[in-house]
Amino acid sequence: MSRFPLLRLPTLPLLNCIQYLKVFEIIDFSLLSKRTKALVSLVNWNPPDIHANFYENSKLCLKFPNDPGLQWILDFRVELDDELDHNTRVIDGNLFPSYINSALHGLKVFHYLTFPNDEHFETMRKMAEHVSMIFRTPIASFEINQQSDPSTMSIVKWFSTLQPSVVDLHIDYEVTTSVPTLLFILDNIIMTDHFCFNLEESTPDFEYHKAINIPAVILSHSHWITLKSILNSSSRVLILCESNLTLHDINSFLNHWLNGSNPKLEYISIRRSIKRMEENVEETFRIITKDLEIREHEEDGKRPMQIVLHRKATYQLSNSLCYDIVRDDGTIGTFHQIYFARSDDPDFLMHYFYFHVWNKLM
Amino acid sequence: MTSPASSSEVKYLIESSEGNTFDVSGAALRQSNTFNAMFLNIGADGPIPFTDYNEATLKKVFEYCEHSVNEENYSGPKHQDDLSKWDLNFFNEMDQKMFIDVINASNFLDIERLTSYCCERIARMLRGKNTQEMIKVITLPTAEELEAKQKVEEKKAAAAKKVAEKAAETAEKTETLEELPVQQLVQTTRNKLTRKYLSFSNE
Repeated sequence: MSRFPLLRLPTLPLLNCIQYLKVFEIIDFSLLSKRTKALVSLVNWNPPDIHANFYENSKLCLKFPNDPGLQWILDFRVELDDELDHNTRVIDGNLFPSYINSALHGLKVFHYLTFPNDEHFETMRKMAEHVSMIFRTPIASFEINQQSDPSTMSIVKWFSTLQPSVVDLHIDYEVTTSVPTLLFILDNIIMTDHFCFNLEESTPDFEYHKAINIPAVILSHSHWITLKSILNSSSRVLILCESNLTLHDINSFLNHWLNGSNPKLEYISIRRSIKRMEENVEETFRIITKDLEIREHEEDGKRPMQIVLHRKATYQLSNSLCYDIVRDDGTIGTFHQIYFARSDDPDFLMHYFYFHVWNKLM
Repeated sequence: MTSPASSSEVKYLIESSEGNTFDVSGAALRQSNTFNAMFLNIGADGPIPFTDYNEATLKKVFEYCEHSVNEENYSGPKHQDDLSKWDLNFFNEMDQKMFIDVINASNFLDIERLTSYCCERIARMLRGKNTQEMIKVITLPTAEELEAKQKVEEKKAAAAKKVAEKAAETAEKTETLEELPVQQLVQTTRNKLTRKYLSFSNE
């Protein structure tokens, strides 16, 4: 049978044909030539939610709003499964072994198109650019896991050239990061929903004073965030672990909040690690509430007990031993604090300070 | 246009690229959005010229339309497995050239149902195939073809540029011609004044 001159069809039926293909077929078709790539990008797609995860076994996940139970995953693995039938796919003139398989988890179906991963994520980067271009949608969610500092820097540099903003950025864990990498992220990538950063800053003395304008910030090591930075920030949610803020800083923050700072703030939690003998609950409470008019919080069912941390997580609030401060406009700030013994170091305690902003009219 | 006995029995004459004419029922023709937009409200005197398409292709297209006259309103494509025996025969008896001609005509006439079925049929050729396998099924333009196409486009662009330049030149000339009497007038006045002045100074 002679080959079909598909690309000689008028554009509209051609685009119509492409719409009938499944996601991996669409990607394969778009990889055939520059023309097919351009054609695929002309289709009026219902834009998918693209999630990129850079990891030893990296993934690009595509979820289409009209098929919420389906995920199309471009899987980049260090080792391919030899038991599956391998096919050769061509990306930018290079041949790659690949295979397709599917898995059913409950009511959700996951389709995988697997390629070999490479040390510098070259294939993954190319495919991320390609997929983002053909579906005419930026990568919404971006994650880097267990990478060295140079690798993290290289990925975020590449990413910042691909798109100026991302809905959420999540960087994890068990490795340290340098000040330049951290500053590069904060200065070059706009995060429109949340930033979750679970790396330890490799320069302990580094301090950050600038405003952080990310709606939700979750930092596992936040010793570099200063009070000045917090007061200048327009964040809605701040979760600061391993903070270097002092009790006087927390008092100062509450005083500033009463005077109108952090107008968008809904929730802040500060976790500090302190020596067992350094603080006691009464003294801490006295310092934190100095010059504040506080009242014991009465639970009358009006306070929302759940907050949305970010688009993928909600958090159940506690109402034990809470105190309120009230701003002139009627907005209430409910706080409580608690100490925990550290299991890994008996000489240290964890001090948690939680502050929830709400309004009876909400 | 033939005279109707009732609106459902209206027959229209269609003219093909060969200049041949043949009848198509109004009901069948109304499946074409192009026809609806062009002729439905204003009517047509004489044969409707669809002269970019040959008789065989147009007959095939309207054969489909006549067949689907009584089907429900089109509400999105059917899966090929759900097509009727008649539909399957209709597609199977076409060779590749006729199939492409039918898609082109159906696209021009904007017959949604037929175009969709054709497109889904093409998509099935690519179903379950990777890049390597797709290349075996469809023709991709060769490097030479792409180069030739680029040359044609460059020529077209150059020709368009020339036309634009000529148009600009003509516009400039027109402008000059329009301005001439005014300039002449100014010059004449200037000459007169100079002469007057000269004659005055001579006096």
